Amino acid sequence: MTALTFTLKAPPPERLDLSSLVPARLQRLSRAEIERLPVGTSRRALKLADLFAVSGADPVELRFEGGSERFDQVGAHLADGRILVDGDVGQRCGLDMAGGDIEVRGDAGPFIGAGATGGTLVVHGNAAEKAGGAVHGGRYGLAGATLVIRGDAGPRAGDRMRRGLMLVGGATGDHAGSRMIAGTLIARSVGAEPGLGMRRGTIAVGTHGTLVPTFMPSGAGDLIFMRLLRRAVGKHHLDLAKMLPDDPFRFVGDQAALGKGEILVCG
Amino acid sequence: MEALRAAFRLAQASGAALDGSDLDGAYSELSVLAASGAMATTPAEARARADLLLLVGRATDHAVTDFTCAGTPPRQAAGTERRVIALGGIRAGAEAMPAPAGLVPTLGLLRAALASRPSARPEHADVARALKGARFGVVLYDPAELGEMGVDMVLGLMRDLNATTRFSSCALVEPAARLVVAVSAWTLGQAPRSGLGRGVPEHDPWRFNAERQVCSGEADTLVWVHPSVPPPAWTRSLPALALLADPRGDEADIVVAVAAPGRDSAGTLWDAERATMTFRPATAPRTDRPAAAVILDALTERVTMERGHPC
Repeated sequence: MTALTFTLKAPPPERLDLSSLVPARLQRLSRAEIERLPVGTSRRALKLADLFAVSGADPVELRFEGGSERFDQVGAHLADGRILVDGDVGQRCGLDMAGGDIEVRGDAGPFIGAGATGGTLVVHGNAAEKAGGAVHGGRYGLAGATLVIRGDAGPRAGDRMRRGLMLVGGATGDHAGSRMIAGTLIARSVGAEPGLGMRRGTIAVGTHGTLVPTFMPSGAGDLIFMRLLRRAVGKHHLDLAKMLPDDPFRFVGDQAALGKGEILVCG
Repeated sequence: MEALRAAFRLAQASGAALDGSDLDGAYSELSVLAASGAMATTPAEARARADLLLLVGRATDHAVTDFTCAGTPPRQAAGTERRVIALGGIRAGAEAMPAPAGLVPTLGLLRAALASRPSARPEHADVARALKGARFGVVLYDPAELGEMGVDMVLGLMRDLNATTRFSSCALVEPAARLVVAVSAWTLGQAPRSGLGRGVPEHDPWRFNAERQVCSGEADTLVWVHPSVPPPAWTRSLPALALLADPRGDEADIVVAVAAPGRDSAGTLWDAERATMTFRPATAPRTDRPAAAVILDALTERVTMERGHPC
């Protein structure tokens, strides 16, 4: 069976809520019922067929031909299956997902991977603020899933991250890993004040902006952990894996909070 | 308050999104509150009971701080002397605590000093001792100045201190912002930056940020309801109606002069000192200007009639 495909007919006139387009829900619906799913977010009450041409048959593999920064909540609550977006997505992609794979071949809006406990998200372009970070009122950012951003990420990447692996092939904005609770965030470079308020967890970077004074240098040492980390990262991003040495320079903090986190400088 | 209630009725009738005119400070506080809670008090309680006031940044020079610091606290714990510390600012009668690293990092260093962590600085030891020794301390801060990360640091400091003593925070938020948050809470059950496009209130501070919606082209019309503050420049890119008390006339496509509540007409406003709503009689009554609520309710009636269903 070919992937169930949604081909965008024209740029959406408003933000769309695409959270209903996940295999667990679509498997129970006929083609006509799928075409009538509400996706609009205004009083226009737009249905799926108003914006997309539907083709293909396999509801476990979904494909969006064309994307938009107005595509909100793509793959939210995804439990299994695969979603491919040939374009951009808006905010909250992969929100609270528990499994499966999401691939975005463009840019992603804010809060990608917020609360995601399992599965893998890959963004080929850039991601906006709070990638892998918590939404307003959400307890956690990334919470066990793997998030790979091949381009840059905005400020506060990994905010309140709880568990899992987040990789940024380019640069992040300021305050990467802010209020991190646990997990691993690796980026080629990060902006000012990384790890502000972090309790536990690991941030590994090539270069970094100003550190807050509540991070303390603890020297360089040969860490066996780095070999394991390199292997894990290499499955998703070879260039970042190559950036990780055996003996990074380590800062511990944030001692304003619990102080059990670390920033590993790999440059 | 009546104008806000009428604005909410119009939004419900038209499926609009609602935002406050100056909510950045309020949202810096609300977002941390939603994530991890807060220990908070009012300026009136701080004035009456606090034996230690920590003023952060520009809170050192704020009208509410003047009110809080004035006079002798009538209900202060027996045997205590009030101490006022100005972090990163200067205020007559307050001890200055410099913040050369910046306000947020210095708050972090203070937390490190309280926990006796290695990054603690000796110059913060005295203030840390004073904070720990307070019977009821209060931190006054401006969340718009500190941002979300700074508020998180202040409220983290509250959590640390409340393990052994009583300490609270007092955010200096614009009164109009406090009022819109209260009206939104009792009308929608949620904070502003909510949308009613799908018939039920949806709260999403990113999606329903009015400036973002206007600048991205998602909004097609704007109604500005703040009699004393003209709409900002970003509102000029789309058709707009502004209800203003003292208009020039060129602030928007359509400008209606309305009564200023508390000046031209009686009204219910936010009392920043007691942190509650309060009735204010007109100080210079005039009857030639309509209340903003009257204009908004007329619009709601028209919108409802054109959409074909009753209010």
